[in-house]
Amino acid sequence: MASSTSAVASGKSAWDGGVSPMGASYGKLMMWFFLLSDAFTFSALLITYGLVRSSHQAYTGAVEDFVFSQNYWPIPERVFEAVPFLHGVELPLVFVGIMTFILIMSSVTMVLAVEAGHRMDRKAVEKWMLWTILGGVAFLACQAWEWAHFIHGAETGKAVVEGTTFFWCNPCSQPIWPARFRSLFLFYHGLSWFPRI
Amino acid sequence: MDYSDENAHVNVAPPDKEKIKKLWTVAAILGIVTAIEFVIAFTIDAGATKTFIFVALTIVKAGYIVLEFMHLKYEAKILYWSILIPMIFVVWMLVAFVYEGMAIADVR
Repeated sequence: MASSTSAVASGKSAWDGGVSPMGASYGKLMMWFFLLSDAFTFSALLITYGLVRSSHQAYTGAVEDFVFSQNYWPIPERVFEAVPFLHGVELPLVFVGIMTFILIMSSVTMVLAVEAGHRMDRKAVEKWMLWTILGGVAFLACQAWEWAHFIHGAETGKAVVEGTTFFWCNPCSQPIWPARFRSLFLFYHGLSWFPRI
Repeated sequence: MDYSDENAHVNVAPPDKEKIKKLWTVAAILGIVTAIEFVIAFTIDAGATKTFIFVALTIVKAGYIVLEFMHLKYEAKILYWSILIPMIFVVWMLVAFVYEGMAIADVR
């Protein structure tokens, strides 16, 4: 077939090939594919949690008066009050804050590694990547501790049926049922971190 | 395979002060937003308002991370919208289902 369309004036047509779609490399596009599909997966879990949570009673009342019960969801101030190495001390949400800080810092070090990579600065890339990996491992370790702690409970035990206390986790009457749901969710989230690291 | 002589041929560019400063600025913004969230956690009473504020601030933080750290703001616009629009749909889905859940709670 004669090349009837050979009169291409100048520049490359996208159909001639050799041009990256959206100006992004294969690696970058595939990374976005992964990120988006990953976001959908965890959104599915999150949306389910949102539905289950909003279809059951929330606790209304003062934080100080809160008692664990089957009738309503627990409040975050009482669920997330443990800190590793500080046994028995109630520090609401402190550990959560620490973990968030580790997470944000590790994403900063990651982006600094990428910046060093653009400059072909191998030593800097190694340095920042090591810090990122350290941050990722630290965060995972924190999650693992938190999860294990949820399962075995605190020293004082949590009320199950009003008035009684249990010292160890009884899966059938575990008061922090939402924590179990969350544990499953977190387990998959944490698991997905290993390949990322 | 001997990688050691590769280093000799690579020209390392000096760090770009502007870019690095921008990265740390965004990191500082993230830190400040997290601190604000922390304060809100202890001051505002639990309820729909508090949850809404938290979700909004989290979206702000996620936005900063995706747009700046993952560079999405500077990509081709078609890629930018290809990521953003599905995520807007997902957020819509979340809102819709929470609303459904509240209706289910009323029926109980």
